[in-house]
Amino acid sequence: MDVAHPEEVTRFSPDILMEKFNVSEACFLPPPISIQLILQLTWLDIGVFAALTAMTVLTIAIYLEIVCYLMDKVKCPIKRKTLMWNSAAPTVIAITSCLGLWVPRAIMFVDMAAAMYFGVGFYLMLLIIVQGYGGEEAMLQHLATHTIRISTGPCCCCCPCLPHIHLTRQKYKIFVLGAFQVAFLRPALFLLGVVLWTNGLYDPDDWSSTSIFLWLNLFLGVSTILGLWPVNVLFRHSKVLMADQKLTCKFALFQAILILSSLQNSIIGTLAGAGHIGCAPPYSARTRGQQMNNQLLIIEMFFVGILTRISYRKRDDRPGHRHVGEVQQIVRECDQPAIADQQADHSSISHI
Amino acid sequence: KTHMTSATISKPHETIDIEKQNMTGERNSTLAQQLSFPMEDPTNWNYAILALAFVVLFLAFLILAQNSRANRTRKMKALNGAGGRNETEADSTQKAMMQYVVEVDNLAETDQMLQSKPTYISLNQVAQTSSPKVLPKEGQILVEWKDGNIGFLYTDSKEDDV
Repeated sequence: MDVAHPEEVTRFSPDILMEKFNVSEACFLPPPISIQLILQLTWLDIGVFAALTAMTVLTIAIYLEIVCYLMDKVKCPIKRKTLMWNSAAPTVIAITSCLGLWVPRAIMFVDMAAAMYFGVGFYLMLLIIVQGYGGEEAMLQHLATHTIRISTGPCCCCCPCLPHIHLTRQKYKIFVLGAFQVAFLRPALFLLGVVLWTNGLYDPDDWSSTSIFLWLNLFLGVSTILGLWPVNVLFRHSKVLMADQKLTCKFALFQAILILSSLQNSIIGTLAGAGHIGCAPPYSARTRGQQMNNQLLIIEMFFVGILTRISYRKRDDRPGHRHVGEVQQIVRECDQPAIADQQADHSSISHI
Repeated sequence: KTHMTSATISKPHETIDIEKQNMTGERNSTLAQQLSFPMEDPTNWNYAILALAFVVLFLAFLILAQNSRANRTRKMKALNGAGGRNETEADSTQKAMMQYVVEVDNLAETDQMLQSKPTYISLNQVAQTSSPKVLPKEGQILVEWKDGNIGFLYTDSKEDDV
């Protein structure tokens, strides 16, 4: 027999499969609601759920500790806010994954919430770099004398012949727009997805060429790549300048979260769609794939949370924002500590 | 996906008629695996996740402990460095102060001695009272001779001669 027509597939209806091949009914049903899930859990499942929930709580505790530290040790309030919001990314993803673990029917929505938060993280990462220079004006002033290489990943790494540019105000605005469009498009498109889902048009299981889910996600993938580029360009230029603030660690963690939260999800989704992940009651194959992803994400985000604590735990007394007139003054103020030190030395000598 | 599902299903479809006669549980499970709804025992996965969770927990706390220890050592070093610097500064100031106090004490003592023993006359007084030719020099000893004159114990000329 040749490849069967789609109509023939219908002959293997869930009823036949259940009767003849002993396939559980749960493999064809949507994910169970929480109370049913809890009633069906074995002791091993309860152990896994408890361990993962405890890890989420630990991630939150570690985040609260960073917040207390940043409140105390980062003097500039604007910088402090940016650091606090950006360092919350692993915590937020761990919390949403834990919610998805306990409420499997809501996995699509909690994944959307995590992706939305991380979309804002693109813009925040750019802000961290800009505020590391001391604000937009200070950065533009610094980069007026330097050229930056724009042939960086992920979209321009294959074009090494791209010219080195001076970052003017217009180009900076394009950079900001590039990072900001991710923060804007993700919530907007996910809202559109939810609206279409209520109408039955947004189906995460549908991977055909006419699937709205597939096209929206492809669009978001392109947006992510475009958003990563300006952040990467600025990071390449600034990593040496801001080595004392562990910018490389922060950026590496940002990229790790990006890969773990989006790439891992799509890999496991593809495997489940291709039938490589088995159905295990009470979960269908697709739900099981999502549960596996959530379980892995909680563990990974706990580890990333620990590393975030280490890399964000830095005292910072420098201002993160200045107006045009203040730049010169602040630059002088930045030089003052050295002068003040010298004066202190002189005064101690004169006392002697 | 539809093609794939139908392809996976078409194969068992051939065999179903044959197996209808002698259908064993084992074959059922293998067939179910070939279909797009394979059944799986989640025990292995659960054990793997539990083990991974504990390994990551252990690793994370190890890293955290090492980092906090390194931070503490760095802080202590910085504190010691600053403390050492302060200490040296304080020491030198204290030494200078002590020297000053000792000098002041010596001066006061000398004054006191001069006042109490009028036979010794301070250099200033000598300069003022005796002839202006007699100018005190360092290392010279002034003596009041029996005849009442005040002069040097050793004269430069004599030394020069020697």
